[in-house]
Amino acid sequence: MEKKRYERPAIIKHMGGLANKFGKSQGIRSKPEIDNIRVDDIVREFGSPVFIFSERTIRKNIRGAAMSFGARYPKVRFAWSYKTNYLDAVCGLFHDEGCWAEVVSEHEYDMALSNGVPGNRIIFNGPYKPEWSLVRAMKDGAQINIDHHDELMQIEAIARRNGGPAKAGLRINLDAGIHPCWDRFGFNLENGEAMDAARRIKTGGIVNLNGLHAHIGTFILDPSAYRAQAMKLASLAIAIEKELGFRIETIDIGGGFPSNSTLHEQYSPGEDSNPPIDAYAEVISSALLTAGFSPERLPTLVLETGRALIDSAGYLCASVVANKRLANGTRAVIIDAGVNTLFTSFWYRHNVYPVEEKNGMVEETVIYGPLCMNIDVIRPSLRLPSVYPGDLLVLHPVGAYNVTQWLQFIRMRPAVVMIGLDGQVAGIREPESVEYMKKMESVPSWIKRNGGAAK
Amino acid sequence: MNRKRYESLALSENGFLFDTETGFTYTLNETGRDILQDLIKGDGPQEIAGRLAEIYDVPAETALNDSTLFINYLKTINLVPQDEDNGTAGHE
Repeated sequence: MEKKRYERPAIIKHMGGLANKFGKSQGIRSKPEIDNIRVDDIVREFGSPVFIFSERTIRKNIRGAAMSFGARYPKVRFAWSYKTNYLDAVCGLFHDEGCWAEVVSEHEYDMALSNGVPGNRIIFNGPYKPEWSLVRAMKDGAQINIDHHDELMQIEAIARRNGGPAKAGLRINLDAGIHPCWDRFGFNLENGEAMDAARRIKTGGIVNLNGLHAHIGTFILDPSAYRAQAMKLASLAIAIEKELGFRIETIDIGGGFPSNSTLHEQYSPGEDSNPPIDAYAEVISSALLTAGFSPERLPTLVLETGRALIDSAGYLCASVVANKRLANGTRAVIIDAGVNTLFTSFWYRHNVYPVEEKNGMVEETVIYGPLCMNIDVIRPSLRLPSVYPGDLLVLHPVGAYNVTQWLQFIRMRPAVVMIGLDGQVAGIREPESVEYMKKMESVPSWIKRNGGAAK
Repeated sequence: MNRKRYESLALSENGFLFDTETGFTYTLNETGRDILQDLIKGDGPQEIAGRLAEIYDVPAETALNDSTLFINYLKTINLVPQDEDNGTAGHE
């Protein structure tokens, strides 16, 4: 007699009064393949956990965004946000699609140069730019967006030393009608600081103000905030042009568009409820087109979109390490990737897919990482079928911020691979080792290394 | 062992469980139902695991491990008596 398919025993208590208007989920989908490549084959070759990036999705995302904005506004420039993901292979794809580089530190600037981006296609942002990095950026012709008065004076001093005029943009902070209202970067619009900074630049006589930049926040789910931002920046640009005679060539609205990820506090899944990029393109483009610029002097719209372009292209495959029951009966699963690897677990409810199809009963489960730290929670609660040690899980979307904010903490950072358009799989970052980590350390001669032996 | 607790459990063939003592209801999957049915009948963990291994494509060791954990969980949620043998008796 043929035996029945085994499913781990499970029991679920019925909870009255906790109605969900979206209904109960009908089973959990599995994810055996990414771009037609078997996930278990990748794990066999590169180990677990492993980040997997899809070239196809990256190119699809940037082309889609470029089309969304390009169809609505004639002068659009994307600058790849290095801090979102500065793996060379990833940056290389965005540059291949025509993106400039947007960097916020001198080491990101170095990376952009080494990725073949000329200095005059780098946007240099951030509140701290060491003097030598400003000197270099000015020499290269990078677009520097000034964050504060001290930086403005520094740039003027460098320009005078160089004996020639410099160009720069101003970072602006403004009230776009959302909370929190970021005001720590740049010059405030509403209290007149921004206009005063422009006047100060005019008085200095050595810097040519050529752009305005603002970044209103992160994971902004309300497109109308961008309408307010674009309208305010456009009004400021027109006022500066009229009063001071500067030609504002670029209006840089920064980043902050959401991906299809789901914030912990979001009720419905991000992939169903987050606005598409078209919604943002529509309000930003229409705000600029109706702002009063003469058609021949329309500024270039600059977008520093990061998360919305890369998040969905990244997957993390991790292995189940163990199952356990917490004291209150909650089912827990431990996997081999922790919050040091998947930093965005603090913000997002990532989708979790078993690699192998699981048809069994799903049960409320908490997923822990492998760290010996109480905070190491990958998903505080999700409905998951029963899994066994060694089973593979795919977490998605994880392409943004994880491979820049990840930490070497208790466990090393894992390998990263990319699946190419033709299905080729290549490692794009090796897994770290103790040797790699300890290479930077040294032990002073007076410290005896006796391994804990008694004196 | 107090077997009276089992008298208040009404378990249907499709895995629906009504606990007449507390009024709570539950759904069990097929293997969970089999284990609870066997416990109600009075079988011990070794017999239960052996039967699971006969019916399902699962090694006896895995079946014993899973049924042990499952019986522990049933104890945690007070569906089976605390002194029910979960298969670890005699283990160091």
